Amino acid sequence: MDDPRALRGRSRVGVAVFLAVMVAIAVFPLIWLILTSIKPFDEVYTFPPEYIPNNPGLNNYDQLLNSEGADFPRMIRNSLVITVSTTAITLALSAMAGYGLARGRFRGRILLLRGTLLAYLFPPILVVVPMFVLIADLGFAGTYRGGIAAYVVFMFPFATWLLASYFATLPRELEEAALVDGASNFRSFFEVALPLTRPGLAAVAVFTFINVWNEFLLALIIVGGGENRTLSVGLNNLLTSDEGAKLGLLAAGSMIAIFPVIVLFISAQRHIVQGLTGGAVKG
Amino acid sequence: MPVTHPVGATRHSKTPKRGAVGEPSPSSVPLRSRAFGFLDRHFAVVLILPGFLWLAGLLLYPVGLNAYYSFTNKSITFPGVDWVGFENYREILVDGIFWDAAINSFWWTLLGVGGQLVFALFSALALERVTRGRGLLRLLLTLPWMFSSVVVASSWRLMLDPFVGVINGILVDVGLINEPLSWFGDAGRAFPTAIALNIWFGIPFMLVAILAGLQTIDRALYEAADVDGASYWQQVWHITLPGLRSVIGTLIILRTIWVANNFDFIFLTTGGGPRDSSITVPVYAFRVGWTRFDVGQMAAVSMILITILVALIGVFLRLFPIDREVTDG
Repeated sequence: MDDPRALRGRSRVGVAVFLAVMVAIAVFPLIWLILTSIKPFDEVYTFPPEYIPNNPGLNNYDQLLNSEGADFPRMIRNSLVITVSTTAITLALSAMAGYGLARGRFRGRILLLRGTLLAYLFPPILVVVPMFVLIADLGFAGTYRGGIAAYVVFMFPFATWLLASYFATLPRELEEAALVDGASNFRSFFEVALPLTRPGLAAVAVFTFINVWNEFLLALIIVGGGENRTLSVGLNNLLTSDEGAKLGLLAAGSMIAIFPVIVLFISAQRHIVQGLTGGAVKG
Repeated sequence: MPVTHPVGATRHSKTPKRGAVGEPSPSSVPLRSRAFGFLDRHFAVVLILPGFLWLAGLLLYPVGLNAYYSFTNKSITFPGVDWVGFENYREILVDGIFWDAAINSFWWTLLGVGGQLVFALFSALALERVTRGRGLLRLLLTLPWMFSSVVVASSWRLMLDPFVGVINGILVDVGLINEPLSWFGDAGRAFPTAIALNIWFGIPFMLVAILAGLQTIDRALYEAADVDGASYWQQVWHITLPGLRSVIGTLIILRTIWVANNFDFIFLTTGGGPRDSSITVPVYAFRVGWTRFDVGQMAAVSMILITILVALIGVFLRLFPIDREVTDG
């Protein structure tokens, strides 16, 4: 056998059974979401449950997206605007800061690095209310701008950390060659270092997009439940609504929320793993 | 070492006093280029400033506000702010529900992090022994990671519905229970159920990190152990686990911080109930500050947690100096 660690004998069965159970537990909720979302109303409310829908259809999606007064289209737009803006701003700020931290030599640099780590680990719940008070005083509570301002705070540290370690691994010689040719430090950052960091930037973009798209607490408090509410908050309204048990709609709404994440995750798997191992769990 | 001095200084020495050469041009041009030269020499600070100012204004300042509010009766509904000294802290420490929440948080964190780690570790070891289809299996095992907290809550709410939930259906079918159970509505079951969801959600992150850690272990060690006739589990114990020590240590500390401060799962599934049976400290803090609008008291809870957090991170940096790679760079 090519792999000396390949399975022999009895343990093969043990590994297969264990992995089968783990995969089933990991995958089943998504399968059940899909199945429930395409069931007609009466098939959702049977017990014991119908596993395979008899009359599958897209009624639930239709009702969420196309019925009169449907607010899912607006919530999708809100989430998109906030997520894309946050991602763009985070990319710009963290690329600059990451390069400055990796290449600069100034007093307080180590302090800033430690501060970045602390900010990265800082849980939003511990500061969200005073943050809300501040953003409300500035007049941005319940707006896109307020939400974006808050999200950048929580996305910037990890992105900076990741990109600083990325820039630190680039060979300095290329930038130095540019400087010898008379380029400014800014030009050698924009035209030499930045293009070489594309994989790191991609990892940051994917990470930021998924995290902001999925986020709930800041969306609830800073952006709020008004007309700018995001998909997360709207979905929670569906979850806790008085009719409560519109399970088919809940499933369809969840599918709408998770769909872009799955697409992004699968297409950028490599970047995500790299980002994680490069920044978060370096040991 | 050829280049240990700053890039900025290299640049500075290469083009001394560009603005002072005295070209016969309008006075604004040398001034502008002199200004650019100054900024360029301090490029690192210039690049860092926007992001860190953002952070200072919207994170550091609110944390400072928090510290101040914790000694006041600040409220969202009333405009005035009065100094109350340690009253907020005293009120929390004599509140029985706070201590219930603290005890729940302890179990929530211990069982959550421990459960995630154990399942992720065994999954990673099992996955390593699969020769075909490993990539697909890993992707499938990673699926829960893609769920947002709201989708975790809604999908499990769907499956655990007391009347039509599929989990009850399966359990009745295999004969483990006789009739459908209420999972989130029962004071004895709500909290363990929420812990199980938290474990389910957290396995992938740990799995991916552990798989990456496994790649760094020298294969030759296993081959030598094989030659010596060591069993599989002996190899796991003496080679794999020591090789994963720093990954696992980092994971435990990162996850402890995040799981201990996790607000979403409890809030979205049980809301802390029934009858406060599943309340944790973050949900308690939220209830005080956002539902009762008592910002001062919530700030006091936050300050207690921030103190613990900073201490934990200090210990973490001492044990696993992950900032060394950048600081030495």
